[in-house]
Amino acid sequence: MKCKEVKKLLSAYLDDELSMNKRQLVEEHLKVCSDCALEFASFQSVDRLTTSLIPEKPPEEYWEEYSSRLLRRVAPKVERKAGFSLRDWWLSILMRTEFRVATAAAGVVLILLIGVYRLGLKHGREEILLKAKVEDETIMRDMVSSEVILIKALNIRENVDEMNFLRNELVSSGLLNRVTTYKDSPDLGERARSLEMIFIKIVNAEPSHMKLVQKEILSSGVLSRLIETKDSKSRR
Amino acid sequence: MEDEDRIWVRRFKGGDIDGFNELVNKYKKRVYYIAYRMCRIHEVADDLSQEAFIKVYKSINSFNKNYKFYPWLYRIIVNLCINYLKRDSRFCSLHNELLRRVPSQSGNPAKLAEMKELNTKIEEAISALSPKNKAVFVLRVYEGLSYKEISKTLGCSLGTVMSRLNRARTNLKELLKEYITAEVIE
Repeated sequence: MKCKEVKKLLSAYLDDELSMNKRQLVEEHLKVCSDCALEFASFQSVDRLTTSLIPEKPPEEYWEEYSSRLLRRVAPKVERKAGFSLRDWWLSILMRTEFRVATAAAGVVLILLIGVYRLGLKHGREEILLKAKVEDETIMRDMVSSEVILIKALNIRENVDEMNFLRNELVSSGLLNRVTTYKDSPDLGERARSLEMIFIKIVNAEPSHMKLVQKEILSSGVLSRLIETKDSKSRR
Repeated sequence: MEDEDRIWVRRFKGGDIDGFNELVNKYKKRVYYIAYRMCRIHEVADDLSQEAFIKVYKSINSFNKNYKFYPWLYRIIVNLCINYLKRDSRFCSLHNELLRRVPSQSGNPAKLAEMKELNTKIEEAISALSPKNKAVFVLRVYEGLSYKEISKTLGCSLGTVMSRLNRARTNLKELLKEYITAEVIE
């Protein structure tokens, strides 16, 4: 076997993925060819070095929250799926005799509940409206802050102090974390994802890369979409 | 292990969200680390790994339950990573130079600095591989998949797996020359 052929098989030989016949041929060759033997030793060394790399491990809380964050992102579908099985369960309940007794009891409870509901309706409605208003105001405020950050990022020079100032502003305002939560929102999701990626790049970029980030901001169209969404929300 | 996956897939296909949760809990770390080893940024790995599970959630009905679950899942995450790296190829060089945080360790500062430098060099070398060669390398070296499993996962032939791995190792050998030479001589 020639060196050229052997070198093509070295990786598979190292991984023990060759047929018995080819394995023997490579083995024989390595005994007599120091050049290929050195190449093989280098491959072994590559594997040793790369597997010695210690990846950055996220904290345990990250894994604890991982599934719940994921479920929130697929939540609308979860509810729909649950709805289907709930209907089957409900139909089976309807067939039972205990259902009649339960219906009578529910009737009494319902009358009581209507009374309580009428009393609490006014207060509850006000609370819901207030909550929606507060949420809407937070989103609007975050959109304005995001717009400001993006405009600042577009105007920034390749300067360490300016970069640090912008980075601190972005992180300490909690904006990045909140934008992440908007990714689940049906009307803001896509924009929030683009915005989050841009923000991550701003946080991680070094001054010499700022021009690339600025190009990315302009080419992604995220700023114009942000302004559009903000305007349409403020008209509402 | 495989039977367990089949049970959860069947339950999930039947509308039981617990089946999905079990699959997420079992595979979340593996999927995250594949994405992290390919893209090297925690936030990106987090987003892509979650995206992979969302794809699983949305397309579970098209998944043939007679097939193994994990090659399908690995294929989803690897494709997401490859697309991300291609889309953001302009930022590949930027990724290499991003702030690297080595886990805190106690010990001699000179040794730690040396380890940090080596870690950075290795990360840079892996980042410099083409997305497809990198995918094969990560699945083989870090996930321990056989060539057959990699070919099923990536939908390519065994010969392609073999040549991509050979290319990946040859490139890494060149990129890590100074450390390799020292190791081989030792």
